[in-house]
Amino acid sequence: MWIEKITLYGFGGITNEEIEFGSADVNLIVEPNEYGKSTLAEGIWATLFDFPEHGTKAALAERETLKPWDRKAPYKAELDLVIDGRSLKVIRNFGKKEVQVIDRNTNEVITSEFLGKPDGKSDGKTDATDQVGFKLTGMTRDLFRNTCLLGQRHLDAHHVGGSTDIAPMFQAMADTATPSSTAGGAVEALQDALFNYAISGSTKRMTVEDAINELESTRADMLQQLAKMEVDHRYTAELIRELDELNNQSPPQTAEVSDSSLASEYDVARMEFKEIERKLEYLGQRYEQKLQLENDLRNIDQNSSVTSPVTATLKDLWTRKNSRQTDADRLADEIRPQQEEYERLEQDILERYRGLEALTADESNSISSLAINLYKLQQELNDLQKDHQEQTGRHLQKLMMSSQQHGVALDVLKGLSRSEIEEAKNYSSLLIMFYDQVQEEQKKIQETKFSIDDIEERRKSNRTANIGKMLGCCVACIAALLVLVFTHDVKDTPLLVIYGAVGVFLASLFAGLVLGAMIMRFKYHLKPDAEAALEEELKHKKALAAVKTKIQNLEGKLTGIAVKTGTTNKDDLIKFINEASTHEDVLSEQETRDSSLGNQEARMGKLEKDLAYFFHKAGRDSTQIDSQRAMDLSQDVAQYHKEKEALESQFQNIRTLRKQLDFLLTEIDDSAREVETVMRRAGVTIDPDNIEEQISNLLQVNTDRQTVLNEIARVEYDLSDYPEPREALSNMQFERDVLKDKIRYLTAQEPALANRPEPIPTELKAVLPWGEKPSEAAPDSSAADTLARKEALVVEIRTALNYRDEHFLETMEELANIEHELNCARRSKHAITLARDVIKKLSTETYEDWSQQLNSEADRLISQLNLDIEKLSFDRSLRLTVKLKGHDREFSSQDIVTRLSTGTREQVHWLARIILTSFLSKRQPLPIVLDEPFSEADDERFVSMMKFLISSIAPNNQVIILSCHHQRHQWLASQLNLEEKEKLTFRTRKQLGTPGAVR
Amino acid sequence: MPSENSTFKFLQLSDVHLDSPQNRGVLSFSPSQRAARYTDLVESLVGACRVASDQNVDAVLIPGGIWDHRSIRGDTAGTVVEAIAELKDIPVFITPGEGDPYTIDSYYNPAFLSARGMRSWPQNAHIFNQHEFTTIKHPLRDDVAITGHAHLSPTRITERLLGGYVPRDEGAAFNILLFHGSLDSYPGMDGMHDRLTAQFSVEELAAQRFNYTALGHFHEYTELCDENDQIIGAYSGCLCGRNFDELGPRVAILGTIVKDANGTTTTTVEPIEVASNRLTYLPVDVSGLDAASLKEEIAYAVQDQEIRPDVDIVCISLEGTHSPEFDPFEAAQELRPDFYHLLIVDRTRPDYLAEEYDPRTTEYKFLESMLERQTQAESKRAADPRADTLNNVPGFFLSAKTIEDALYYGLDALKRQKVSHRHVD
Repeated sequence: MWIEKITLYGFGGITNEEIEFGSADVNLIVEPNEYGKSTLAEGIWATLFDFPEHGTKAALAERETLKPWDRKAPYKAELDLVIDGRSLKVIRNFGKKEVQVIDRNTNEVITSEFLGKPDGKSDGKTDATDQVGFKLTGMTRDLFRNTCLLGQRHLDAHHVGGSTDIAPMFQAMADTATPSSTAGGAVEALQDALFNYAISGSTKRMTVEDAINELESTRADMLQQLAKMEVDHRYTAELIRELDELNNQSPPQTAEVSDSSLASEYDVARMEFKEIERKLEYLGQRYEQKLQLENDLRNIDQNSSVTSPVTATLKDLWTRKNSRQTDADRLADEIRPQQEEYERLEQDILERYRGLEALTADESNSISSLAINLYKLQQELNDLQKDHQEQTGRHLQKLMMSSQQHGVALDVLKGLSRSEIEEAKNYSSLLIMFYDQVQEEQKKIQETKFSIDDIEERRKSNRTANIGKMLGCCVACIAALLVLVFTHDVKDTPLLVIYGAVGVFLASLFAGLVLGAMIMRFKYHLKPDAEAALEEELKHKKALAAVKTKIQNLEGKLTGIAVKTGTTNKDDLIKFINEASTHEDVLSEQETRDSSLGNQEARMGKLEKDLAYFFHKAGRDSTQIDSQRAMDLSQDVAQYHKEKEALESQFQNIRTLRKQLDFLLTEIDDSAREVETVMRRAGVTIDPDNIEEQISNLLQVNTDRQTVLNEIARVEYDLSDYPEPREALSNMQFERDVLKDKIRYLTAQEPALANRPEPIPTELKAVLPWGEKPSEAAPDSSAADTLARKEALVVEIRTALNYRDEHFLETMEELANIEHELNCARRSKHAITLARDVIKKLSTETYEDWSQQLNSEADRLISQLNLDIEKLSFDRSLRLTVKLKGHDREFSSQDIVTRLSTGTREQVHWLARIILTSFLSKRQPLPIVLDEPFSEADDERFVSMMKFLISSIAPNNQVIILSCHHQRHQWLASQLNLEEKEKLTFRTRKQLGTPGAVR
Repeated sequence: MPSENSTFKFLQLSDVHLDSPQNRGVLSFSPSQRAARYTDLVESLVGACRVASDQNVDAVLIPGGIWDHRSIRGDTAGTVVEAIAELKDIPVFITPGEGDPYTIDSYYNPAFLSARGMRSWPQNAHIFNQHEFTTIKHPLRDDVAITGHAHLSPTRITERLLGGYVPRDEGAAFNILLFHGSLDSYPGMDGMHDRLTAQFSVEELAAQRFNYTALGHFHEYTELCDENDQIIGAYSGCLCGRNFDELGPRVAILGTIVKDANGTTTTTVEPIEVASNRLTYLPVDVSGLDAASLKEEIAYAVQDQEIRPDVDIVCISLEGTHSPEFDPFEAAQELRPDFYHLLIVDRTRPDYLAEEYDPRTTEYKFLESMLERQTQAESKRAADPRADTLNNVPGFFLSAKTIEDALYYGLDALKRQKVSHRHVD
C-alpha cells in the first residue's frame, strides 16, 4: 500500500491543506517546529482507522484533542492510496463518525467491502463495524501506530535510545500490540489476584486457596449443624410419636367428681401446690447456678491479666499464625529437594567464581569499560613516550649545534623591546610577502608583454595573408581582361562567356581593392586585444611600483630597528629574529610534549586506581593492574552473572514457590508481631523465651471463660421461659402461699380432708399444657412412670423444637450465602489460574515464533545495510543481541544500553524497530512514517541510514520522513549520488487549490 | 337437584412457602431484610384470609404448600392457625403437599401442636390427613362436597393418582377437588423434571367430573379448561414472589361456581393480588450508556414495567458491555435511595471483544483459545449438565461461564495489569 495524497480539511491545527507523496521515494517533509508534522502523522492513522471508541480515557480523549482549531472547518480528512493495484480514496468525517471508501478508477462507493461484524465476519450491512484500516493494512490500530509510525518521541517513550532494555517493548508488542503491556506483567497481576482475595462483606485479604478452605470449613460446619438438627428432628418426631402413643394408651378420662367437689378442689390445690414447689426448686437451683457462674466469670476476668476481647484477638491471631506455619512447613517440604539442588548448583558457581559475587553485572560493564580505556591509554602513552624520546633527541642536537648562534642572536635582540621584536617580525613577514608580490607582478608584466608580442605577430601574419589574397585578385582581373580582349573579334562568342568574364573582372577588382585597404590599415586588426594588453601591462607596472615603494618603506623601518641593535643591516636583524624564534619554538614544543605525557600518566594512574577498587572487591591482587587482567575480571564477573541468571531461570518455579513461602512467612511474622503488639498494649510483659507458654496460658483463660459462658448460656436457655427469674421466683412463692392458704382454708372447712391420701400423680395432667382435665382414675403402679415420661418428653420436644426454630432457617440462609461465596471463590480460582497458565504458554509460543521471523528479517535487511552492525538477533524471549563489525564478541541487550555509544545504541534500536515493522507489514508492505529520525546519529551514520532507507526500505515500503532540520537534509542531498538523489524528494504542504508541491 | 340457581364462592391460595429460605445465589439478604421477607409471606396469607372474609366466601381452598416443612417455625405456624381461626365460620380446606406433608412432626398434626403447647387447629380448619382420597361435606352446606388427600411424606409421588378412581359425593351439587400435583402440560418455567409429583393430564382431571379442582404445587397462575372450554380447575400459583422464578404480581383466586336449574355449572375465576409487594427483576443493558443515560434507562424500565420503587423489591441486573473506564455498578448504586429495597447484580463485562486484535499477538491467541474452550465447554455441558469442576466431580472440565471469566480476567491483566474478582453466579 502507498499513500498518494492526504488532504486535511480540518484536523488539529491544520486546515484545508494537502500533501502529495511519491511511492518508491523517500518523502521528506521538512518544516520548522510547531508546524504540525506530528499532527500530519496522526492524520494518516486516524483517517485509516478512526479514533478508538473503546479503551482508556486517554485513548477516548484523542478525538476531542485533534478537533480542528478552526471551529468553522469540518473535522474531516481524505487519503488517496493505492493498494493491490486499486486506487482508493478514504474519506473520513471524524465529527460525524462516518467513513466512505471510493474506487477512484470507477468512482464507485465500495465502503461495504471494508465493514464487518465485531467478530470479524464481513456481511456488508450498513450497521456493521468500521474495519477500513484493519482491512487495508492487515493490522490493528494499535499495531499500525506502534510499528509504522516511528518518531523520536515514540522511541523515547519506549526507552529506545534511553537507558533501559528494549526487550520489554518487543515483548509487549508481541503480547498486546502496544508498547507497554507484557504477558509477564499480566501473569503477575493474575498471580497477585490469586494472593489477594476478599470474601464478600469482608475486608480481610487472603489467598483464594485460603478463602476456599475457610469457606469449605464453614460450609462443612453448617452442613454438620444442619445434619445434626435433622437427626435431632427425626429423634424429636420419634418422641412426638411416643408421646402420642402414650396419650393414646391412657386416653384422657372424663373427670369424675370425687366424693365431693371440696375434696376434688382440695386434691387439685395440693397437686398445684406440689407442682409449684417443684418449679420453685428447679427455678431456684438454676437461678443460683446462674449467679454462681456469673460470679465465676467475674473471677476469671478479674484474675486474668488481659481482658476477654484481647484474649479473643490473641486466639484469632495465634490460630492464624499456627495455620500459616503449617502451610509454610508444608510448602518448605515441597520445595526442599529442588531448593537443595538449586543451592548445590549455586554453591558450585560461587566456588568457581569465588569473590565475584560481590560485583554486579553493571560493575562488570564498568570494569570492561575501564579496561578498554586503560588499554587505549597505555597504547597512547607508549606512542607518546616513543615520540617524545625521538623528538627530544632531535631537538637537543639542533639546539646544541646552534647554541652559539642562538646565543649571539639572543644577545643582539636584548637591545629591543618585545613590541619592537614583534614589529620587526611583522615587517619581516610583510617584506617576504611583498617580495613575493613583486615577483608575481613582474611575472604578470612579462606575461602581458608576451601577449602584446603575440598580437603583433598575429597582425603581421594577417597582413601577409591579405597581400597574397590581393595578388590573387589582380591575377584574376588580368585573366578576365585577356578573355574579353581575345573574344572581341571572335564571332558567335557565347554571351555567357562574355558576361562571365566581365563578372569575374569586376569581382576580383572589388576584392582586390578591399584587401588593399585592409593591408594599409593592418593595425586595426585585434585592436581591442592589444589595447587591453597594454592596459594590463600598465596596471601591473603601477602595482609593481607601489609594492616596491612599500618594500622601501619597510626596509627603511627595519634598518632603523637594526641600527638600534647595533647590527650592520636589516638582513642580519631578520636572521637573528628567525634564529631566536626557532629556538623558542623548539623549547615550547618540548614543554608541551612533557606536559601531555604527564597528563596521560596521571589518567592512567586514576584508571588503575579505579580498577584497583574492583580487584580489591573481587579479592584479587591489585598491585599489578593491566588491561588484560581487568578484561579477564570483567569477563569472569559477566560469566558469573550469566550462569547465575541461567540458574535462576532454570529454577524459576522455585522462585514462585519461595515467593509464596515468603508471603506465608511474612504473614507469620506479621501475626507474631501483632500478637506481641496486642500483648504489649494489654500490659503483658513479654518473655521472649517463653512467649508460647505465655500465650498458651492466656488462651487457657479464654477457654475457661468460654466454658463458663457456655454454661451460662445453657442455664439461660433453661431459664428462657422466665425473662426475670427473680420476679418469677417471687411470683411463684406468692402463688405457693396462695395455694397454701387455700389448702389451709379447705382443711378448715372440712377437717376430714387432711386425712385424704396423697393425690395420684396422674392428676398432674391438670397443669399440663394441652389442658386435659385431671383424671380421677385409680392409682396405677405404672401411671406415675408414664406421667413422668410424658413430662420429660414434652420438655425434650419443646427444647429441641425451640432450638430448631432459632437455628435451622438461619443456618440454611447462611449456608446459601456461603455456598454462593464458595462458588465465586472457586470460579475465581479456576478462571484466574486458567488465564494465567494460558497466557504464559501462548506468550512463550508467540515469542518463539516472533524471534524466528524477526531473525530472518534481520538477516535480510542487514545484508543490504552498510553500517557497523554485522549481525542482530532476537533470542526466545525477544532479547536483542548485536554483533558489531570489528568486534569479536556479541553485545547483549544490557550491553547495548551500558556499553555502546548513544549513536550506536540508537542505530541498533532503530534498526530493530525497522526489522519489526518490516516483519509485521510483510503481508502488505505499508508506509513507514518516521518523525525526526536519527537525531542522535553523527553525520556519517545519518548518511548511511538514509542511504539504507533509500536503497533497501523505500523500494518495498513507502517512506515518509518528518523533520525540522532543513540544512541537514540539504546537506544530505549533497552527499548522495545522482541515482540516490533522485529518490529523495522534498514535499511541502499546500493550501487546497494551489498548484505545485514538489521542490 | 337444586330447583334454582345455586352458587359456590371460594377463595383459593397455595404455595405460600412460609419460612422458606430467601437467599439464593446473588439474591442475598441481610438478616433484617430476611426477617422482612418472612413477614411479607405471612402477611400475604393473612391478607388472603382477609379477602376471604371480606368477600364472604363459602370456603377457602388450600391445595398444599402453605409452608416449608423443614424450616417452618412455631411462631409462623401459630400465626397461620390464628389467621384461619379468625375466619370463624368460613371453612378452610387444606390438602398438605409434598413440601408441607402431613407427618407426625408437622404443624398440621394436632399431636405435634399439643406437644409444642400450641393451640390446636380451629373448628373451621379441615385438614386432609389420609393418602387416599376422602370426601367430606361442607359443614354449612350439604350441597357442597370437598374431596382431597394428603402427602404424607416429602417424597415425590410417582403414581398418576387422577388416572384411577377418585371418590365424589354424587348427591352434592358441587363436587370440589383439592389436588397437589403436576400437570403434564404445565407451561411454566418451574415445571422442571425434578419438581414433578403426582402427575396428571387435563383429560384425566376432566374424566373425574369434579365441578372444580383447586390445584397446587406449580407457581404460575394457570387455568385448566375442558374440551368445551369450560374451566375445570386452576393453579393459583404462589401467593408471593420469593426468587427470580417468581417475579411480578402473584395471586390468589376468587372463584364462583354457578349451577343453574338445568344442572349446568359455570365457573369463573378472578386472580387477586394480595401480597403487599412484588419481587421484580430488571435486566438493563448498559452497552453504550454513560452514567446519566444508565440512570435514565433504569428509570424508564421501572416505569415501563410498572414497578413501585417505594414498595417492591427490585433487582436490577446490569448486563452487556461497557468501557473499562466506566463502572455501571457504581452509577446504579447512586439510585439506591430512590428504592425501598434495591438489589444490584453486576453481570456486565468490559467491551474488550469489540476491539480489533492482531492475529500475531499473544492477546489474540489468548482470546481465540478461550473462545474455543468456551464453545467446547458449552457443547459438553449440553451433553452432560453436571459438567463443571465447581461441582467437585473429578475429571470434569471447567464450565463455559468459568472460561468466560478466565477470558476477561486475562484481558484485564493484559490490558490494565489489574484484576478484580467477580462475585456473580
